[in-house]
Amino acid sequence: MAKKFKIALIVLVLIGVSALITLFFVTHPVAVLDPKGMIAIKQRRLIITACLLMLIVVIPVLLMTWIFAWKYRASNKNAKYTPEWSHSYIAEVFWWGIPLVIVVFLAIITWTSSHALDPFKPIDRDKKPLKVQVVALQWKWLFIYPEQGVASINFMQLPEKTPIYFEITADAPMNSFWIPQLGGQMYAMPAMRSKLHLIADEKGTYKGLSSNISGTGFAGMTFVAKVTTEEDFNSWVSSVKQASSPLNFELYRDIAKPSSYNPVATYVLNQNDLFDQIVMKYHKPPKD
Amino acid sequence: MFGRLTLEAFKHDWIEYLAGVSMMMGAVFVLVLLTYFKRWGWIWREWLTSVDHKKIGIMYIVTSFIMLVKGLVDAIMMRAQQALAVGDSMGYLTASHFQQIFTAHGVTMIFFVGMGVMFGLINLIMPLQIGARDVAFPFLNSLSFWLFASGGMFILVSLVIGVFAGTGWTAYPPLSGLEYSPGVGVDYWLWTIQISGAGSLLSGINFFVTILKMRAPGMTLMKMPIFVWATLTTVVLVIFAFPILTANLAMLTSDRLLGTHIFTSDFGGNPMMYVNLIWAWGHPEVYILVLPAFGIFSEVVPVFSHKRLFGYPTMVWALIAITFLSFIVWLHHFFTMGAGPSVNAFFGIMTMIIAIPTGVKVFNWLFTMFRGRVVFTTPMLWFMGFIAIFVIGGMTGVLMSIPPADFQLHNSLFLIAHFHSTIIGGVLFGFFAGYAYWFPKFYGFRLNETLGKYAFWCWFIGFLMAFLPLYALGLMGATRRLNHYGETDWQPLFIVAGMGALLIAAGVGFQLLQLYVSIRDRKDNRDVTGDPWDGRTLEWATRSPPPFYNFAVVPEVHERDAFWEMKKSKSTEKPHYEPIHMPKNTGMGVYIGILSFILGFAMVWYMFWLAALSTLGIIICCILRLCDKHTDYTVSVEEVEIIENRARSV
Repeated sequence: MAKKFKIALIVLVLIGVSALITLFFVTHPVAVLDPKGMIAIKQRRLIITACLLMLIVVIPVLLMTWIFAWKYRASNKNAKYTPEWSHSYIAEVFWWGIPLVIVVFLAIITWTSSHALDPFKPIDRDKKPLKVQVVALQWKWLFIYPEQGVASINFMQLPEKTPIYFEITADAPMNSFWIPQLGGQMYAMPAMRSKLHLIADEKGTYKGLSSNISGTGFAGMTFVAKVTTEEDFNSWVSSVKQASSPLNFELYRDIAKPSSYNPVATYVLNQNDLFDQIVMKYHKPPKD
Repeated sequence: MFGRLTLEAFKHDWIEYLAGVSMMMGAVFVLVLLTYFKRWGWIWREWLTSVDHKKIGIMYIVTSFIMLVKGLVDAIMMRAQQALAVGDSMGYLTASHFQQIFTAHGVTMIFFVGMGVMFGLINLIMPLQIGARDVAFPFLNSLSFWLFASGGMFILVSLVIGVFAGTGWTAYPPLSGLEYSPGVGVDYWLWTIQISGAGSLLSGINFFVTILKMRAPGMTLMKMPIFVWATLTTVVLVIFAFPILTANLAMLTSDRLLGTHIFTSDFGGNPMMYVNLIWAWGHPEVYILVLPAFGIFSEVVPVFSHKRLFGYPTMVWALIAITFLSFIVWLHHFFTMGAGPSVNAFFGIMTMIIAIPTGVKVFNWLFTMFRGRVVFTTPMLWFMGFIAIFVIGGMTGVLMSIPPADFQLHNSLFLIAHFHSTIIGGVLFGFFAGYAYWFPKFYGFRLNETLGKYAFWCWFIGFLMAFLPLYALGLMGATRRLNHYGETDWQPLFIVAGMGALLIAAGVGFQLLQLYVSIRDRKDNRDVTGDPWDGRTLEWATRSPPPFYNFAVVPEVHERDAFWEMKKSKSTEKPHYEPIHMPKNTGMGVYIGILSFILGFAMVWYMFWLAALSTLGIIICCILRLCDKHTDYTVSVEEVEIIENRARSV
């Protein structure tokens, strides 16, 4: 009786916990599994496919563990007992073979997806990509729109269904530029220029952040990526142009000084090669 | 005179004071106990200066256990901060303090818990399993331990004097360079790892030579117990990987101290090179931790299934394959740094190939249970828990080896959950299985089973509660190392994770209680046979605890499971003793350890005169040791007979 009660209790607890977990995920957004752009959608599909493939091995292993443990427990004297049996070619061929086959499948997926989803590769759409230059600073993000002639801090507006070409650098320790709902991340490193191509297929505001520790203000390096229609994007650009102060290299130096939890700010770009200068200043001998 | 050490270095906030004071009170308590019981001479002669591999092994494990508690307190503090610091609340820790805590947590757990427990167990078990009387270089072994211990001291000292690094345990430049981290924190980190790393490398060489040269007659390589094979492959990794770490840290030190530009962003330096090198060491490092655990399970499962290990040759080849592959996967730690798709894909595929030999090992363990008679003692429970958690860890690991998937998971809490699955589920659970399994060998009594099972369930359920939410948080876009976040959505999961950490702490509490109760009730748990589990390998052939020379007569080996065969063919011959050649104890390891600590401390604080003096001291110690001709002695046949007869009559 006591044993039955125990089992019933465990089952009840498990059901309760699973119900709580389900409730939690129904009511709370899971960014990586709720993608809003082609790249992130493909990455989600990749994650799910790979998991399903691996479950082909994982589930039998977990089941076998519990079944063997139960069936061959010492108190079960009816079970077969072969203390010297320690070798079987057939069995071993199976468990070298099955994982091997799965890894071959995964390897093919890995090779093709690495090329298809290469962050440096432009997105194939018949629309001119929008170029956004990203500078990780201590501890905020500076976004430069060289073609539009505007810049912003901790906020970016993007037109929907338009490929975005990010050029990324840092004038700070290494950071990682990540907008989970639009796609995977890319490191932002001083003196280097890395590239990332993403696209947003739905309007909305998506959170962006740095995922690599870069000093005390690192936790505050979040930003908002607001995706709107192209018209709204254009009117945002013109409103920034009217209402903001000009940004040149001198002002940039002030902005680049360490500060954290910076409010959103916008600028009119007064110096078109600002991004290049930021990258290049590490490659030139200092003037003083 | 004092370099950059001023009174400022002693100023902390109250939480840091609390930590420092409680640590010092613990140290004072031990010192008072030693004085009260007049045990100073005893601890010096019997333990600190000992070159006996068994005592060194125990000292490793005791040190690691202290560090485990320290690392666990770190973990709970982090979880408490993350449970509180949401939205407008900034929590109770400053960002810089929080960052020091997670850096110290990582360094503590990897270098002083993971490596400490494994090197401790290898020390204890490996020489016994190969029928040797000690390791090849007993003094070097003592020196390794003292370098390890003095490395660990830096983390503790930094609680009181100065600060620790806040850069994360891998300390990527430029953040760890002089420009962004001008203080002493990164220097503490550097010398912690540099000094303990030297110890690890020496241990690696020592174990390597021991296994190759000191096996009992008849024990060919393919007759060695799997734990010895696991040790052999581990130390091959140590020997190849640790010099990379040492060189890398030396270059970073040179950047910080001499003004070179190897890893800076300007003047032609390149921080990406550092990232490459730290992971060229770092990935083999995780196998250095987990391969011994695989070895432990390969010993535990057959014994408690009362069946031979299934597929011994494949087990060996799987170990060798993992050893080899672990050196060609390191780039998967930075797919997001912008290497081309072909390079990324290559390293991704190499990584997933490791899953094959690892999977083979799991199947072999399961088929050792198949048609066996499985007894569910605590070591078997740890094994079952290991399979459940490690399989999840392995699966998420393979998932992250696909570069485009990794772009979405890299540096997120998903990653944290993954590697804790492998390191807690694999390394720690493996060690705990080994701890319960081999404890009676060294103390002559078993650990309390009931409390051991409580400890297991706390650890197991605590683990699930602490880390499954992190998988979810990672997918929700939470990155690692956040001292504050805006999303109130995340908070419930962080709270659950915090409760999991507390449950794990309860598990550690049960383990301490288990130790206490087992010692108290040692008469009831006593094992006089030396073979309490019906073991199969040579360590059970000698009595418990083993005499200082391990085996009165060196065993001859004809089969795998050497002791199992011996038990089947019981010989009644009277043993034929021979004089035994043993190493003498020496304090030189302690002296060099202390001097290394002073050297590191002086370098951290720029007291260069002191650094020069201590370097000179180390060199003098080495010369003195080299000139010492009286480093060994012989135990005569009569003495052996007296010791053996006395043991038999008890």
